Amino acid sequence: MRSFFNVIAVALFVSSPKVKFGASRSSPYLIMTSTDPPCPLEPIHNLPLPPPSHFSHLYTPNSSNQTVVLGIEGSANKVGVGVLSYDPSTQTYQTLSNPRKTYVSPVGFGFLPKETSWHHQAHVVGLVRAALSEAYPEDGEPQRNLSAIAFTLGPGMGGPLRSCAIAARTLSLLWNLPLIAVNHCIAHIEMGRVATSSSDPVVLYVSGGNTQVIAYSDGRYRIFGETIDIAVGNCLDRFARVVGLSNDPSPGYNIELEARKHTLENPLKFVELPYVVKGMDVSFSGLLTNIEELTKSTNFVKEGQEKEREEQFTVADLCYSLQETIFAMLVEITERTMAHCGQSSVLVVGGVGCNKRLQDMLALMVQDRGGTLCAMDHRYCIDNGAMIAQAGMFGLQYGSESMCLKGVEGSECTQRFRTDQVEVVWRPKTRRKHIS
Amino acid sequence: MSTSEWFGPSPPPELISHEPPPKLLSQGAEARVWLVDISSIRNDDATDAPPIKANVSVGSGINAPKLYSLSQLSSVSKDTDNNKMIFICKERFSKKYRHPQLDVSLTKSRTKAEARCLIRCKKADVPCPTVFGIGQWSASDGKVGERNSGTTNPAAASSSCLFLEHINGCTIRHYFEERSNPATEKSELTGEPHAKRARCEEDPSDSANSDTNQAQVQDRITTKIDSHTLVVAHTLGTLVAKMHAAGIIHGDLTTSNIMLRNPSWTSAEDNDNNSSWEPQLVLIDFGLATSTAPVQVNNNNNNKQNKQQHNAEDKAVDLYVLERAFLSTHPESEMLVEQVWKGYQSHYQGMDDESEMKTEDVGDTNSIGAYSCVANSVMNRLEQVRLRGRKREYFG
Repeated sequence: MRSFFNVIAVALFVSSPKVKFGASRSSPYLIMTSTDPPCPLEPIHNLPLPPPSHFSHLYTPNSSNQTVVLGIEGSANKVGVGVLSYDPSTQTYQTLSNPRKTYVSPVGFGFLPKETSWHHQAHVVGLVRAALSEAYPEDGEPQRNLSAIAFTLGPGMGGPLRSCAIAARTLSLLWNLPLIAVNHCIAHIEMGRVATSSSDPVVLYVSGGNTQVIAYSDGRYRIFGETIDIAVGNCLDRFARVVGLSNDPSPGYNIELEARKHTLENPLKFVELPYVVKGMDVSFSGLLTNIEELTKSTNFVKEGQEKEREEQFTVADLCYSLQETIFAMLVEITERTMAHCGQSSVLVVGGVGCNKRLQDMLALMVQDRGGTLCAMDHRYCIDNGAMIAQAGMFGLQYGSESMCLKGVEGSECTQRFRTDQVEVVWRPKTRRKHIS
Repeated sequence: MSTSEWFGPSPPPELISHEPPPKLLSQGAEARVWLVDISSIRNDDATDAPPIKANVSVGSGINAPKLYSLSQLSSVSKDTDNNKMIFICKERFSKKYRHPQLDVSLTKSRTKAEARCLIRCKKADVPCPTVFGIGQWSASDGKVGERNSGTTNPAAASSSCLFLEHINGCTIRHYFEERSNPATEKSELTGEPHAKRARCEEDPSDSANSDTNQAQVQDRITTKIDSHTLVVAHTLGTLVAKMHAAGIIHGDLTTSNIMLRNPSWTSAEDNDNNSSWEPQLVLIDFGLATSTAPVQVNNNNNNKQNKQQHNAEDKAVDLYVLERAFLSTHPESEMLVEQVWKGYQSHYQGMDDESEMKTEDVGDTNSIGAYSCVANSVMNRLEQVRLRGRKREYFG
């Protein structure tokens, strides 16, 4: 097995000839990576989705009759590999392993495509190895259990996407396994549905690159509302950069920690910010400019100084106000979509989706409508390999023509890949009835 | 939708002791819509009925609306609604999830803006519900949300109400859906007055529908295109154009926000008399509306800068919202959207014809009228707005 990995490693570094081992070691970027704790091996009780047998020509279950898919994700600054199995006897999907590494950029900087690609190239082989040995610790040749390799086709940053796609192609050719091309947004939705056992929720997908409110209708995930300029995570990240918050583990989490200083005894000041909801859509760019200007105003109290006047505000005040304002906008468009579709349950996915304050606000809104909120923790909310494997598994089991590739053809990544472009063959083609 | 702990919302404080109790028509994202029957306070000497407090002054240039007390309303709505004596109370309730400061300012400003836009629309002869009054409550004198849960934050409790004319009919969303549904029997629907957002559970045909839906899961239900649905779409286009010409941007044009007063359920092929059927559409829910300067072009001097005196951007975004609402809720309704645009442009052309008549033939007849230029610039901008969505495959 070791020789296989050496081949991939060579393939990856040949693909980006500028990267040399020595150069990558001395680069400050590659050292700065945070690793998540290992994912506990717990079964996910899924929705009853027995796969139709007539697509079995596409893949072969392993010796224990399980279908196992390896998913490789790397569309932004996280690279993750997940191994997911489906057991027909229990009709459950189980995440066998889901290791992930995050590229952390220095304070005051965002993650740039070039450095992020280097990071992914340096870690994807190790992650595949770790994922397989964690899934099958006893097995000398764990790749024999696999039925297919799933990878992210898009949307995302070009360099990181291509780095992971090369790894997927190489593995596919080495082990003679079919490739499945997965839409990143669909993967988030499917992972959320399976992990929370929610059959037909309105989905709020909030991350660094995407802000969408999605509901299923007639064979597609339709986008009902989205951002018309920058994504919510992008807005948070850039604000964190301006006020000099750390990017470790993520800028959004550090903003959340600042905002958590708000208590009933010691309330933080609420600074009014632009509230931009246009129908079902939201906009954050003007808000970001506004809050950036506020940090340059005379009322802004820098770190370490004391508030002297009532109208002054600190970084914590701004973090708190920013969260309150943008999350209220997100909850509002989600509620609009729920009212429009007559739905009562909400699933929140994406990196911003693990923010506790956003989850609390959504829970309050859903409670008022007599519904339920389905939320997950960071293991499945943030980009991970298991979600790619999950969506790939559905595509494989239901024979999605667009997702199941023939050889390596059609595995070119795309930075623009809309959620509603994918035909969701694993869900019934019913039109939503307007019932509430 | 209901869970064991959920009792449903309580009516706004002004109407909490009203008999018969207000009926909840719909709970939208932002507001609850109550149907209030005021037949019981028919007597003119019902002075104990609380007057509706008007806290809002409507902007300069527009006369303040006449505001009524509950007892006065009975006489007003008698005239408008065939002795039915009902009106709509649109309650913007406090959102528990929002920061109290943000909540109060949003609720207040949106109620004000909605009232202003409705009044401006009424003045421009755009069909929309009549505003009867505005009421606002703060936590101190109201009992908002008391029954909802025990954990209501008193600081966050504030609500404001808009008292509006009740529109009889159904939403065009409901209309299109029922027309497209082959399982629907016409006889079950004719003459049936539907609430603002007509709910499917009220239809006797619904249980039958869900059964047939189960059976034909793989069948695509497409939107029915016939002369009636086309004429509804065309009229909708002229209506939106009229509103835009008056300087009102609706902000939330969906098929659920457009009512049809006189739905015709028979198909055009069945009945020749219906060929002259004219749909009476009413625009509702101006919750996200904004008002700008009305479109005015002076035909006497043909300066090109006159054509730029309107905000094409806002209007185009408004149309884009409508287009997306159509296509996402009504599968394969591209023909209807096409008709909406035709109606939109035809209204501006009509304005051109009118103004030319007034000014006694200005310029040569071959040139496009100034108002048509407005329509064209909006449609051109719409093209740009369509390309603006994130991560579209044909962009960048």
